Amino acid sequence: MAFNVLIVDDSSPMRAVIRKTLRICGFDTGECYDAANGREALEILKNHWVDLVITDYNMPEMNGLELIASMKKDDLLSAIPVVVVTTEGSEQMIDEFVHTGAAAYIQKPFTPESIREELNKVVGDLEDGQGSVEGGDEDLDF
Amino acid sequence: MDREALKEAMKTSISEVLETMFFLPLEVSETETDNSLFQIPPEKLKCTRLRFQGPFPGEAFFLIPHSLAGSLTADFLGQELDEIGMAEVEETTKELLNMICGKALSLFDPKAVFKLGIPEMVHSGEISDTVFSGNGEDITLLYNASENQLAVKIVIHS
Repeated sequence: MAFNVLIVDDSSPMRAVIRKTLRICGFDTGECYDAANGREALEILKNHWVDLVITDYNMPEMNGLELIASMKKDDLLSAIPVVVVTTEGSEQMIDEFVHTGAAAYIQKPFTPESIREELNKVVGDLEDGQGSVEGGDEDLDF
Repeated sequence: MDREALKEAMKTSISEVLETMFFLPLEVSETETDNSLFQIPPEKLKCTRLRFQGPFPGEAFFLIPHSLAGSLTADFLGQELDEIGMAEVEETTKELLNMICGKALSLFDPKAVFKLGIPEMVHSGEISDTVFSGNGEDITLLYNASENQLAVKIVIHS
């Protein structure tokens, strides 16, 4: 099953790296959308079917937490899992991400292994525990 | 503020970010004698700045020669050097500082909440005044990398 992914980060190189990492991980990506902030992300979510959102936290106009909070208020968007990929590493912020509704959290810098591990948990939830990301460790070469 | 602890956190962060995301090899090493980076004309350097607030306010700088910035960007994006444009180089150096600063501050104090600003480029005409001038307590780390040098500086505002 291919998953439509929305990548949200104000850094265009980082969006490209995340996209590349998903490919390296063997994540079955269908359509892949990009947004530079939470506001753009919400526009994309209004018009496209997305299975998974991967978002940064610190962005202009609307940050990652605000995006998650907005999605949770919407009946359709609230079910879409959101993975936060961020430089933030404080215990308080991690708690806040989880409390607001993030499905997983990954701190930058990240390895393909760490992305794969977290996505496996999320994909497993999406497929009721039957899905996983393919690929052995020997294939993980960033 | 424990200056030595912050310095160690910066060192760990720089190594981790450069090795994990940018494949800059382990021969990156700290040097205290050769500061040839600061002799390079500012117009041949890329400089990014990131301001932060929290238990103590400050700003971080990342300084790197154009040539090294280009090759780092190419490695980061998995592309050839001639496929990389100036905008991508600048965005990558901003993101690099973002990761270094965020990781360093979270290593320094995992319980504290630091609010990072949005990274910005420093115009070459302002590099001398901003990066090389002292206006507070600062920590500068200078590294040799691929026959070049790069520097990370954190200035703590009192």
